[in-house]
Amino acid sequence: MAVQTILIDPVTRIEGHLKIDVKVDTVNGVPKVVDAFATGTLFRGFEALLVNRPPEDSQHITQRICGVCPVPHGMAAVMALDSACGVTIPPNARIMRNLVMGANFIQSHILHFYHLSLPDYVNGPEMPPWQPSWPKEKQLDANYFNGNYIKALEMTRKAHEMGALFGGRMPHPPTYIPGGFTTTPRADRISKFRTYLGELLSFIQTVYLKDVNTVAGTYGEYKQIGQGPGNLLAFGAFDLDAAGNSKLLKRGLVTRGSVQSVDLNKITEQVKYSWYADNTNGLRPVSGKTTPNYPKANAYSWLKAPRYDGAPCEAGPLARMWVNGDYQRGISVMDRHLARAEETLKIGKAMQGWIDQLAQGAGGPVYTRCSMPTSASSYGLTEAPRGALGHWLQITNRKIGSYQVITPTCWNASPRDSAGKRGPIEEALIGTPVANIDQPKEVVRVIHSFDPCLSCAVHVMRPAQGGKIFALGHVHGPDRSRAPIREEHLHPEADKGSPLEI
Amino acid sequence: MVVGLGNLLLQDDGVGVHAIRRLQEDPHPRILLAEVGTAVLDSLHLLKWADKILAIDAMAAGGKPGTVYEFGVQEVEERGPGTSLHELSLLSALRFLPQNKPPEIRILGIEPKNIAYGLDLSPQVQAALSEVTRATWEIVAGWQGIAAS
Repeated sequence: MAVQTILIDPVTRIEGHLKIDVKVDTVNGVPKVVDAFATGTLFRGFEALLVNRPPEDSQHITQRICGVCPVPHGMAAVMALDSACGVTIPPNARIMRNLVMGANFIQSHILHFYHLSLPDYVNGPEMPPWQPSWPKEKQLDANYFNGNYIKALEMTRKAHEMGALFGGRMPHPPTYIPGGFTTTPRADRISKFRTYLGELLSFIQTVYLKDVNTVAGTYGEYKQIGQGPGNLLAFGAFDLDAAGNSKLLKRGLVTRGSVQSVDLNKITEQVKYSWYADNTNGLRPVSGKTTPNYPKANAYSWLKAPRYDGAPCEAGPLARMWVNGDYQRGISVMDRHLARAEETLKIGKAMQGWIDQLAQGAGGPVYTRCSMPTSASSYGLTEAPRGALGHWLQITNRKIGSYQVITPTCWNASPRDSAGKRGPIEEALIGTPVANIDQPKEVVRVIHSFDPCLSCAVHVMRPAQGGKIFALGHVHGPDRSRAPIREEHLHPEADKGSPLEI
Repeated sequence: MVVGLGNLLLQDDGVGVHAIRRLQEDPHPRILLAEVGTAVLDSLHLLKWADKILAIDAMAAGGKPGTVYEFGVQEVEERGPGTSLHELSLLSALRFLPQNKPPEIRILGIEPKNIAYGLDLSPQVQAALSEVTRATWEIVAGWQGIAAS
């Protein structure tokens, strides 16, 4: 059989916009993915718009990179600011930062399983958003799972409400400031937080974990599918002491199954296949540059390709749980889902301890006075629900001189690097069987297991000549009119045509 | 319950949310005014308590920009599936609720002029907000049991 191309554009049920182009060929009688290209279709201009602003703005602006994992951006930004100021924050501030970010993790993980992933495995009821969909090869109880889909909507809402008790609002809490936190732990809020957390933990233990195990058991072959490069990277998160030496989720790198320490100097961003200027290739993030260059020969993504010591690394709950020694069964589609669910429980239980600590020391300060230096170079490393997150800050003349963000999905959905090595999602797709090339649901399952998050924006793509286009729904009825947003708004040189609206 | 639908970041598409903010200046104790925007599934916990719903949204029906339409839910063609949960329609979301007591739904549609990135309504749609407010309270006054309270 000749190699066939499948273009999935956009990949639905993810955060943001991702295009996946896979080549399928028949190997030993079985059609399998033989090559893959992941394209981030969005230019994220946050680094450029931060330059020359007051450093404190970074906390608020970078949270807008994403509506699903804003809190870790606020955390990374404020950690970089704390470091620039040389300030040690009080225990209550550290705990409240952790509690609000923990609420974000619980919200995001439950949302990812029930609302973004479950429709890959369950034939839900005959109604949107379950339908339209490709029929599944295995039977799971549609009514049962639809009931939990709705219950999970309530749980994600409650996780948000819980985070807002200290964060002020969710998403995008404004309470993270250099030196600490803007709210104090009032007794009534501590009590409400406990009630929410108890209900969420009960759901995680008795429903979420059970359902993930049911799906993983029913689709056991997905414990062999979607391995990827096998390198796992975690920056670690949820500081347990003032210096951040002890963390609930530890920092570490996994290669060939063994855990090693992380040397930040080994991180570079490569742009040979990304729409950025070639003279910015291979820079370390501390001196990173974001110089768009579109179009560019052979380039196919707006994501850069971050590499550790030249190697592509997978980030996410599986990486964290492996580094922590909590989950080391294997690397696959189902291992990602299982590790994510077990991590949700681990974080929820830790939060119960933190809320107790907060109650005991409720009268303590939440802020340490600090002042912004006129110049500094610092960074903040943490974890977003979907993986390792880093912010690198340069302060010049008390303004932001430069800012670089490496998001987890830059690691996971990265294109090829200078050596031609595929990114983790691309690599994980290789060998994935595709039973029906018109319904490449296996491909989508591999992609979703990484929980990719390409920051929200409207963007327009054109179908490739001869490619199979799976755009699930470009149809808008008369009750909503949306003028097409044309590609030339983004690329004035682009030829005129009739774009597909995404 | 009165719900404002649409994307606040796309100018006139967000007219439903703008209308709710206008209505909130003079609220009614027995009417819940909800900025739903594009988070329709996230509003299920509110929708499930409503026995009557008035939805306010942009409606491209071909009239002059700012024209206000009123109609029943049966007159709207169901939109095709979207690419995002943010695009789920109100009708689709309501199917998640128990069907024994479906709420009565009326819709106020406003003909948009500009749907592109931007926070402000076009002058024509901005000017239509007073008619939307008037029509809203008129419809609400007709809801049995509300007017007297």
